[in-house]
Amino acid sequence: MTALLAGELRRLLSRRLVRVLLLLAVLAVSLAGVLTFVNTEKTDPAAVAARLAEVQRQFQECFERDAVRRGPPGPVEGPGSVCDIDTSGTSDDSLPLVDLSDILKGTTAPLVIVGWLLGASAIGADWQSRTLTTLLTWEPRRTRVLLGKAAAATIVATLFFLVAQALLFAALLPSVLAHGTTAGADAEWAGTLAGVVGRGGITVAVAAGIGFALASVGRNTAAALGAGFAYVVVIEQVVGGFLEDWRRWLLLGNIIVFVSGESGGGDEGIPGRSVLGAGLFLTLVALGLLLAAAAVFRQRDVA
Amino acid sequence: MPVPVIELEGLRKEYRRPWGRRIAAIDGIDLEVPEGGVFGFLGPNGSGKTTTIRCLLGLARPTAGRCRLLGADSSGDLSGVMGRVGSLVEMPGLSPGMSARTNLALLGRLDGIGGDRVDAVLDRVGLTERAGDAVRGYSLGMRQRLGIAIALLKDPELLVLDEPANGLDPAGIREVRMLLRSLGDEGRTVFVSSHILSEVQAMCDRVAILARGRCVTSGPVDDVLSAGGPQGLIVKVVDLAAGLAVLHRAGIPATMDGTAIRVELPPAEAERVSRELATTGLYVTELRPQEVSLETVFLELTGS
Repeated sequence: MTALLAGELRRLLSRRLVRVLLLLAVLAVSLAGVLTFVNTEKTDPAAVAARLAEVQRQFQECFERDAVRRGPPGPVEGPGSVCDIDTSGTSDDSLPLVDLSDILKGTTAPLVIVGWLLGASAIGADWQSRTLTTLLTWEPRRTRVLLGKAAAATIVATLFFLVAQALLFAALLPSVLAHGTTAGADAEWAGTLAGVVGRGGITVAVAAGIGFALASVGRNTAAALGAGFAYVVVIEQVVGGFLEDWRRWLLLGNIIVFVSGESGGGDEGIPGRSVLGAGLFLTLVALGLLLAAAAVFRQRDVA
Repeated sequence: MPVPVIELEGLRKEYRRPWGRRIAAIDGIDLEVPEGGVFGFLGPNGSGKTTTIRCLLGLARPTAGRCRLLGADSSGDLSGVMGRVGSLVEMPGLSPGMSARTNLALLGRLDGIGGDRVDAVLDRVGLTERAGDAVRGYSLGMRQRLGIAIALLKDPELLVLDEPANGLDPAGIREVRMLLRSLGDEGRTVFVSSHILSEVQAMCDRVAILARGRCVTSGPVDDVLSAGGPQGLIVKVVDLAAGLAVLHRAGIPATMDGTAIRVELPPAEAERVSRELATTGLYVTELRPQEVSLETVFLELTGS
């Protein structure tokens, strides 16, 4: 099994798609790092607070003058257009280290889609190139072959996620060091960050597993992508939209709860769903689909 | 009595067409392939050769009947015998981004095969110089050579090859023929399907011919040739038209066949033909049995 898994990992890492996605991730992360550095600046929190208080005082005065001049019940215009007050220096454009956990959390969603794509492509491309046929003439135990491939796909997708997150962290670090602060980055924050990355990695692995299972049954990558798109458009929107109680058995709500790390997951989540429950549900869905795909693979002919 | 390396018993495979209609790709094949030598598996396109090979290797499940590979039921667990079987099913499926050497090495590791053996088989199929190149840049013929290398990698006692000469140039076809013949001479069993009948005739000890999903004949090549082909004589005289007229007058069925006369009599009647012509002053310049090629037998038996 070790030789099979090692071989599948090498095959996957040699794929053009993986390399292209990695290159795109490096480019996107580099761009994000540069833009963040340009758009942040070192600020003194006390000066910002004082400046904000001053601007608020000016607004208050302006409002009062304007209200006296116009009298009720005339329309109230925005203070900027009427008062023309200089608001510069009132926003904190620094990037504290503690904010990185939220930024990394925010990038989990696109990486989940990448995980789905990697999982689907791992087996879809094998069907297309008939490498599965060759492999089965060496290792005829089909369940072993499919599970080996699934394991390789989830490992590569998760590694991709971790590498992308690490690169993003590294790309944003110069902005933090030059224009931000490490204040508040204590052990508790480190735990939060580890939770964000850990839950994100599990979600990406789940997405890769589901994509792999669908592409295995559909025998190509497009089948899994199409099924994913149809699921989001039809099931999530129609069923989730009309039958609120059913949302706890759908994927998106559970992903939101699990990735957010907050029970219920906020407005878009599922009220009452625990983080652990959401993670367990997602894992069981992926495992169930993989077992179903393995059962189908055992029975069907291979071209 | 030694166990055949390949056994097919009433093998039938149906595929479902749209609207639920079923079509039999193979329809009750019985075949035994003895150990050692080269066994040719012939048939026109769509006759069921590849489907049979896929059933044999456990890639497709028979609808009915059984097939055994080195004594193991192909519908069950083949892991016990697969290490002794090298195979190539149509065009080999390979990872295009990896080199030939890496493709082979990854497969070899599944059976504990080392790098030396990989280099040896690459050398044997003439791919050493390009072994480090990504497979996606390979020509059809090079991919086919690589497929043969994969089949040879296990140093197998049984080779199951589906159209191994596909895409090869004439020199490559000849090389494959010589390679398979030498493997057969080493005591291995080579089960090979092919369209190139002259090659099959030159390298095989035994053949089976499929037509419309059934095995229409099988056995040693000489037996198949003598039993299946039309028999006759080829006669040449200086004046072909006069010779043909003489034979017709003598009640001997004969037709003009290009630059000779084809006589529809068995070779044992050669003396009679020669005598009839000589009595009218026409002396034969050439008299020989008509050669029966595997192609002739194949076309006759398959109705192609």
